[in-house]
Amino acid sequence: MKFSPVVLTVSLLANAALAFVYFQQTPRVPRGSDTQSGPAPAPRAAIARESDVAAALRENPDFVEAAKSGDPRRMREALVRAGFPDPYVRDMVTFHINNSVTPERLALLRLQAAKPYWKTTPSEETLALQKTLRELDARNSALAKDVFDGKVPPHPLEAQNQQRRYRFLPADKIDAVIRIDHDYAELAAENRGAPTAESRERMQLLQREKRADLAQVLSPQELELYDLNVSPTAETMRRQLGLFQPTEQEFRGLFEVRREFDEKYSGMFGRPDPATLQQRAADLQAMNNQARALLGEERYNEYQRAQDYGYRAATEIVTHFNLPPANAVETYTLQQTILQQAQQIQRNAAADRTAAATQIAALLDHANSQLTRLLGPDGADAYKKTGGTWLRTLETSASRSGSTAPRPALRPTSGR
Amino acid sequence: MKSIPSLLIIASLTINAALVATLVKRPPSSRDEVYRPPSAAVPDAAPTVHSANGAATPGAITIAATGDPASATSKTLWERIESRDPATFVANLRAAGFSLGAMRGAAYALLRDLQTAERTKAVESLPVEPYWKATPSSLASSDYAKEINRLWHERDRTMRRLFPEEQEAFVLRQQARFGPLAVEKLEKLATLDRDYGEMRMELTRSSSGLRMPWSSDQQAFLEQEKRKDVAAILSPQELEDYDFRVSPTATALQRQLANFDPTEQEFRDLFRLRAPLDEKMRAGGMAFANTPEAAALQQKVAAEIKSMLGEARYEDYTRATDAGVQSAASIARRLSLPANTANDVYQLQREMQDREAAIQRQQTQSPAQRDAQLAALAAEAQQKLSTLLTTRGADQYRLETGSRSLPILERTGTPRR
Repeated sequence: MKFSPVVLTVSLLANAALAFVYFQQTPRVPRGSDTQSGPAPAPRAAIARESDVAAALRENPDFVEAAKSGDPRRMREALVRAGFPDPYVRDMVTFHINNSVTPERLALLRLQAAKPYWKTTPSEETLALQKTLRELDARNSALAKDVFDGKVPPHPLEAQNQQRRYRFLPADKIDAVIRIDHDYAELAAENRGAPTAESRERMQLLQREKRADLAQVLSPQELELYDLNVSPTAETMRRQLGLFQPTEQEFRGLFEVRREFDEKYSGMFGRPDPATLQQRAADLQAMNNQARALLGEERYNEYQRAQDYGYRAATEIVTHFNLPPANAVETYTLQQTILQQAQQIQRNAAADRTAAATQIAALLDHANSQLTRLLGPDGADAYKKTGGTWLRTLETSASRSGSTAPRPALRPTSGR
Repeated sequence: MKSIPSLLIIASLTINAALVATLVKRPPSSRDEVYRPPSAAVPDAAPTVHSANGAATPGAITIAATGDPASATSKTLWERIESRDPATFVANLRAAGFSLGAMRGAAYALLRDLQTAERTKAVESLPVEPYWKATPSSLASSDYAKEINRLWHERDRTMRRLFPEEQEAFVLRQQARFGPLAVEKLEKLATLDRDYGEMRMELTRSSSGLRMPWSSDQQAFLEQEKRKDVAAILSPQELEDYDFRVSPTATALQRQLANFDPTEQEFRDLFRLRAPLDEKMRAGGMAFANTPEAAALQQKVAAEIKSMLGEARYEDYTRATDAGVQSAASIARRLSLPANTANDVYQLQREMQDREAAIQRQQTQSPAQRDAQLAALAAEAQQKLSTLLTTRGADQYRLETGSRSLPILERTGTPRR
């Protein structure tokens, strides 16, 4: 190539000009770690940004005054006027009111951090500070409600979870249902504490009112879907019926059968009186009869079996030891048979207690050998430690059959 | 060989070409001050962000970094103050004069916003089952739980970097748990706690809610592994202190001895006697807890504790570890009742037990007369308990203890677990 001073000069000038433009426009690129702590912006951009923010604040003295006032209501109003998004307004105001790193709270943490491990009794200073902070929390909670005109908006993450929870409802109704849930959850929280007859009545009243509110928002079909998806009965059924694997039709049928019982006996506390216990047993029997009529004999047996703790444990064991699934079913059948036989022996025990003790001991031997056959030695051992509570009852019964001590009642198990 | 000027021209032209290509390829948005979290939380395509009036609108928030007064006047105050960079955002709010709490709230909201895409992705990864299908706990995907945990810790770390008060609170909380250790060690222990906590949760999930023996073995294995990891962080002396603070026996003792006020030596001796028993009870589970062997072991340890403490202090220990006294003490603290309330409840328990036994021993009265006396005694116990703990506290006491510590209350027919 022939040397040309002109070409070289022009090219070098172009180098300089392009480099100038390049460095002028180079953005502040956040580095991985910087993103956490706030990277230093390119000086010119930062200065421009700072001056813009300073100008913005100068132009809005009311905003600055509200920010500095510390008055949460003024702060909220100023933030809303300034166009801050609702979740930011919520968090800024609630964090301002309930700041968890105030000097008092840090002082309490310091006391707790300085406490030697053997000092199990909180110091007077700690107790006093805890009391002050409890009182402050109560005042702050009321203040936050007041600032948001009676209701602090739900946490945005909670709102997101709720959207998912109610995905079966039309999109335009979800917010209304979430609001109803939120309102009644707050009212229920106010009712918390040691359960009493009055608190149970209040809870039942709240449930009725909540349902009336939901019925105003949802169509009958949507309300039915709401019940099938999120009611306590539906949630319990999904938890209990994993091994039963109901069809949609079976689930709906069982739901209807079980809901009435659950509503009648939910929230009970204390030891029920004998009449209530008797009524509950009769209602349970009626409910099971309805389930049997609905499912048919075979599926009903599977339904009961699926809810049995011993069967669930046996299922876990056969899976863990890679045994045939039928062995879990056979273990359940063994359990039912043995308990029926033991019951029979107990009924006849009055005639000859010593003979009864011998018979139950023989039954136990048979049960143990069958369990080892079905689940293997390790599986049988695991079964006795988990699902085999009936075996322990049988052992106790065997040891007492020869004595006059009261015997534990033996009866075949059922899910509900 | 080419001459030096020729090489200079080639080099200069190459640099020009590279600069032109870079400038042409640079996207316009790169000039904007957009925070991108480390794991690309803010997608380029239509993330959810908020417009000035707070409504969710599609499109990335961008802030012109030029400070152009013309564009500034057309923006809302929010648009001029906000930044996707947490440190800048906090600095802007500080300049406005906001309180620490308000700035923390703003930073928290921003960090949550920045994680929207990751969180949504995690939530959407959860299986969606129709209502009639069972939802065993294992379906609450561990990946989901891990991701949500990770996002929470990422927010927590950033908040600590932004606010020294947050960092101080974190360190103090860890010191309250692990003792006066260096910050670096506290951070490592907190991370270990979190990691092993996740693994424990995973085990619980995979066990379908049943406590099978192999789950206990796996839990025990996890504990052993965790201890090895802890031992690698701490010196032998620090490890001993760690056991006195964090082990299951230590935490149980700290809870149970709240009214005993042990000396350091007493605490260490009690720990030494109780730890092997606790270990056996944990390993054996419910199946072992109800055996005569377990009862004998408990009696043996009780005798050793009595011998170690002496009569008087053992009486204090018995009172302090009584379930009724513990419940009364915690209620008294919550309701700001006098400090000696728990002791008074203990005396009431003893008095009522003695009087109930005396009534039961009476041979000269009919069952109906005895029942009437017991009913009157129950009413008196209820009234005295309410005087000591308030009505609310008395209900709570009965709920927590199931009336086991004051059995006469069974006859009054009010709250019980």
